[in-house]
Amino acid sequence: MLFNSIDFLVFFPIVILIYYVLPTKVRHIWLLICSYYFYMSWNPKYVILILISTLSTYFGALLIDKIKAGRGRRLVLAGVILVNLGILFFFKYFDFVLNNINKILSALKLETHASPFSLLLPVGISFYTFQVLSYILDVYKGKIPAERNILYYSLFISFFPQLVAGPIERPEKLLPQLREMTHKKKLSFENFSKGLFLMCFGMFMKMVLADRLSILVDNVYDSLFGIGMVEGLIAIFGFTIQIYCDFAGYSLIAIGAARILDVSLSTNFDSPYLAVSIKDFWRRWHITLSGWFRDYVYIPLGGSRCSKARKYMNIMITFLVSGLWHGAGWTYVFWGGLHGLYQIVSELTLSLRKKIRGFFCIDETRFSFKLSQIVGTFLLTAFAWIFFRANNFNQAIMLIKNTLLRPNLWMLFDGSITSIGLSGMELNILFVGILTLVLFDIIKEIKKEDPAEIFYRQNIFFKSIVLVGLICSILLFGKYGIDFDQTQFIYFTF
Amino acid sequence: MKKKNILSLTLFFILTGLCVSLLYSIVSWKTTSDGAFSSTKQLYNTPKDSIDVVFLGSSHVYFDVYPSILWRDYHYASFDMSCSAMLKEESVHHLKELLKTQSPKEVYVETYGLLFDEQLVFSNYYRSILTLRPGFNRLDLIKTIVPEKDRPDFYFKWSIVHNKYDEFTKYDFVSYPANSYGKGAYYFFRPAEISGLSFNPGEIKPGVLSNDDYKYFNELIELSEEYGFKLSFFASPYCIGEDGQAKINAAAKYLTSLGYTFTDFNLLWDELKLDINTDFADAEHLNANGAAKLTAYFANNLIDPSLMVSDADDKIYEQWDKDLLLFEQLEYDYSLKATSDPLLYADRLLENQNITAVISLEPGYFPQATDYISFLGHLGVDSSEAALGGKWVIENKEIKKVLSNEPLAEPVGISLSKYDTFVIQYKDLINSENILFNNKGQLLPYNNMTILVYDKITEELTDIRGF
Repeated sequence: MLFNSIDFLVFFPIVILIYYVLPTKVRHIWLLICSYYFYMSWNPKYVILILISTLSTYFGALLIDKIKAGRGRRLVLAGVILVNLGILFFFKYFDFVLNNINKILSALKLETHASPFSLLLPVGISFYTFQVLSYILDVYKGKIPAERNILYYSLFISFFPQLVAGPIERPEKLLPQLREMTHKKKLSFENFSKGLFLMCFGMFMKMVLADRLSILVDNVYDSLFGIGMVEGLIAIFGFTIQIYCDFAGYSLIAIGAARILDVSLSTNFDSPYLAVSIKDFWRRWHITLSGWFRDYVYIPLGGSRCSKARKYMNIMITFLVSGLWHGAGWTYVFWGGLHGLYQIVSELTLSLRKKIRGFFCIDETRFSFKLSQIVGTFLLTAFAWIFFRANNFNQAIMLIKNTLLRPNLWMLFDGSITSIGLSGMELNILFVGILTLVLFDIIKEIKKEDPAEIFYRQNIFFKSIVLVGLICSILLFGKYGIDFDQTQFIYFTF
Repeated sequence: MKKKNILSLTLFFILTGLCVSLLYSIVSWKTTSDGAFSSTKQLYNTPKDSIDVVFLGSSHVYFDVYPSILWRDYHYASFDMSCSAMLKEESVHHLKELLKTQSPKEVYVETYGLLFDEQLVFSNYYRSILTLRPGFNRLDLIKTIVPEKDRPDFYFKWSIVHNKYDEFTKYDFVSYPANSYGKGAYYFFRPAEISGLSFNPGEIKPGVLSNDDYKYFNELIELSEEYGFKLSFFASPYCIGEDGQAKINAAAKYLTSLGYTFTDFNLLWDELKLDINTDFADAEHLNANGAAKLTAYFANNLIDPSLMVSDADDKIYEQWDKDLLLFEQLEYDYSLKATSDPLLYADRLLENQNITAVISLEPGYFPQATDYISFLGHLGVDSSEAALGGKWVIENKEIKKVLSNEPLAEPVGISLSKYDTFVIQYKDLINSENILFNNKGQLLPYNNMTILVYDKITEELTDIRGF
């Protein structure tokens, strides 16, 4: 069940209605049932996998809690991690590894092996696996006690707003809120307003912007041989905005849906394209995932508390693993590695850049300097996204080559820009939509506040106009319906 | 939740509902055929229990049978309940829809729908289903004919129509005038030469009817028994293939065996005196000439004479008068457009009081193929005045000069309807903006004389002619 589907439009109001009608003591059970129903709507059989993850980590944590110290704790931890990462590896990376082995065997003129399985990636597996791992690791480290109530724990793993594509919640943040459900009372107007706003804006980002951009991006990537600079730049920048709108849009819907249920989820995106450096970008992009990699990969590797060379190695390893998490493909690994490289080069050249600025008397406090940083960071991330989006390196290289070597700027003036896949009217809608998004992000950046809070503080007329405007925009300009090939959220494929 | 908040929420939902309804009124699907014409909408606007005779079926109905002629010549109050490529199941449901507000005495069912089981053109599902008002009948129709995976989109309509903004026309915002009084017919005048039938329909052996066909006939029969109307069937004349004719013959044989009238007009080409050069719009449909013949046959041979309306002046039948006026106006428009002789054209301009015409004769012309002085003389303009050139307007069969060809002359505006205007001015020689229709320049290049004709009934610019 996608968020942008009629099924969810029917499902969610029923969930809320019954949730607030039920006695508080059983509300978490209702949500658990709904969450499993939500997950099983994708593929009923794969519920077994989430059950295995839930039960293995639940009982594993209890055991770890019981065994206060010693080898036994480590063994249990290792076993639980092995089971969960094993499932993830099997479904996500088995075919990738096999294909690479086959390539080597083929190069050595040896017999290759076909995959004995036809594996469909279970939706959300990368997300909930990380969520269970953070739980078991935190219990092992003694940060939190093991959760005794299996229902709360199951709901923590399967809570439907964030189940299939995050935010990846930490147990110390989400579990207490779920326990609180037995004490919470009525539907709060404030939560409803804020949640509705976030859901509407998230739908707007996904259905009006991301799905519209995907038409342009897909058309260019499908016909790379004949493209020039204009199409290339449209695909590069288009995908940069598309993936942001798709993923951040999903996160907003998830956060908004949870807010209506009086559950606060973590912010996952914080105007990432207003970042002034790659390091800053990763503080703003997929915040919960980068936080996870920081806490469970980078810091255990030594983080920055080691030699510079070791630190850079840790950075690179973390980003390579992050790339691999995003997809079973070398282009994803390369994308991750590129970001690692950006950070390393940025650190290595920091003093040199300072000297250059000093030489040219560039005042770092000026808006123009900040703007140049923002633009520079945006361009670097856009370049890296090329590899993320491309099916293989040949595609990425062809896109870069044709973009640089075929300057067909007349396309911007002779009307042929509409041949890429969107009519003039559609391009106008896209343009206005992107401006709206930029305004939204700039306001967030200036106010340094949750956008839902900013929205809620406005007067009733303004709020109504904004919400009605969003709803009408989604209904009118959203990409959905009988002629539309529904695109999943990009991050569902992880 | 506080009372204030409940009130705010309520007002918000009301505001959202109003905005969404307004938007939906614009994007909603509006046609049952080509153009802005919708026989379903016309049905909904027809007064209750005013229709006595119904013709039910596909475009073969709305092209071939004219309620306006039945009204004009025989005072029968009839209606074409029809939709492009109407399937069997659709015709049952559309008839049920009609029976919600009407009590016809006779229903003539056209049998083209026997020849196919699903729509070849998917948008015909939209024409048929999306024009129906919400209700169980509509839901039942969706469940019956729409593939399961597409049903939610049809239930909620919005997901089908929401992206029509790319193809909005005036009639998405404004109701097509004829939809408020039309009686289902689609008036088409231009003839096309067709090849005719290559075989004798009567000699084709009856084919096989399917279970669905029998079920369809039974549903219609049950409706006729429940609602007490006389049920008859017919097949329109067109260039049918042998397989199709076999099916029609099978249907005819079966239904006549049950005692129902079945008129296969493909057997009656000679009796109708149908001419393949003048009476057809295309290989599948009659034009107005052919429809007049077919309609007359219904009136003279099939429809019960007792159904003639005794009090044709009753207010309830005003719409039939308006529909007839529309038909005659469209007939006039066609004859005007078909007139190539300038003097005859000039005479035609003065025949109809429901047009506004602008005639522009640019200055400094030299005589060409058209004798402009004689042209304007036919309209009653003095030759000395005509020689100077200028701009004239014909309204209510009278001509009046409104502007000379002087650069500083004040433009003259004419309000044609709520949304349409002429602006007549002189900018310079043969400048397209010398006549503006809705602020768009219409003066034809390379012509000394341009005539624009606006039809006040159809609210359309019906002809732009250059001499």
